[in-house]
Amino acid sequence: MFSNRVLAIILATFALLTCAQAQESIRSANDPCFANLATSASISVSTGVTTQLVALSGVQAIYVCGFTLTVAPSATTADTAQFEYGTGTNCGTGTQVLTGSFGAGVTVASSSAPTQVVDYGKGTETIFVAPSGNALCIVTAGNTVNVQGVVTYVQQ
Amino acid sequence: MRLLAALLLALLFCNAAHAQQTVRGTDPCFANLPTSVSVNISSATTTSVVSISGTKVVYVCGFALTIAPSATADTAQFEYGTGAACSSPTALTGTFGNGVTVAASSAIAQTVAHGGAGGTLFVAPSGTGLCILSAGSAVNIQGVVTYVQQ
Repeated sequence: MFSNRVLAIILATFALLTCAQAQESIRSANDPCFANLATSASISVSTGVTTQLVALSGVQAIYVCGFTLTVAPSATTADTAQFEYGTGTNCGTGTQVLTGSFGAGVTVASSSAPTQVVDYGKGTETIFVAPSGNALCIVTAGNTVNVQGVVTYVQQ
Repeated sequence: MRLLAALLLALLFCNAAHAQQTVRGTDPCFANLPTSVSVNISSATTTSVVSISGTKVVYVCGFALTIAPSATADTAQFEYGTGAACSSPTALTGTFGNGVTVAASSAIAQTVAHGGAGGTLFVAPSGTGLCILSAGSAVNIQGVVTYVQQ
């Protein structure tokens, strides 16, 4: 039915696929960012405030797989952005920080300094987690705030 | 004969892939769900990032830091050691951010981000903790470290 050459190609392909599947199963059992198609939320914040990025959903946790932020410079007080989690309106209850306040530095006028870029995570590994039953928020500070970006996550 | 040769080749490929899988499968950053810790340092000191836990090893899977400029360049260096804050330390990295020496008001912070792709970047050996050694004036180092301790 098949020539030897075709049979050999089929067998070789099968062997490689089986091996690749075995490798994938090691990670998929443990890290949601590896095992699932991630979702994203855009970030666009223009005031010093706490902004909810991902709403809580029952007892689900939020596994953050990566993020990219641009934090604009501003006069007199440096713009910063910090991830945190909590419950209630804009993570106001049981608040816990997940990162430091990225971007602390530039305090010159917006027009004369570059924007800070913070880019972390490749989307294939969890970099931090908002535990079960919590929402994910970002806290911004500074004057002339302009924090833009995207956060990639799995909620489960 | 050709069929046998092809099967042998496939078997060799499979064994090679399996060996690679075993290597990756033993990497804690690949095989486990990592933990994270926030970084917030405002003085020139040694700060414990991950405390010692018995004989466990700290596998660093990734980190992102912003290092603010200051009149004396701010720097951040990962190291490991024993005690509360890595006494008798051993450096794990160079001193990131070594550069900006102008007033904090006129330069951008340095961003250093690495990893987060499912592999170990560096390791604090068994029975040691992970620390950041910070230096400079007007120190402001912010960020997050992702790790597995086991």
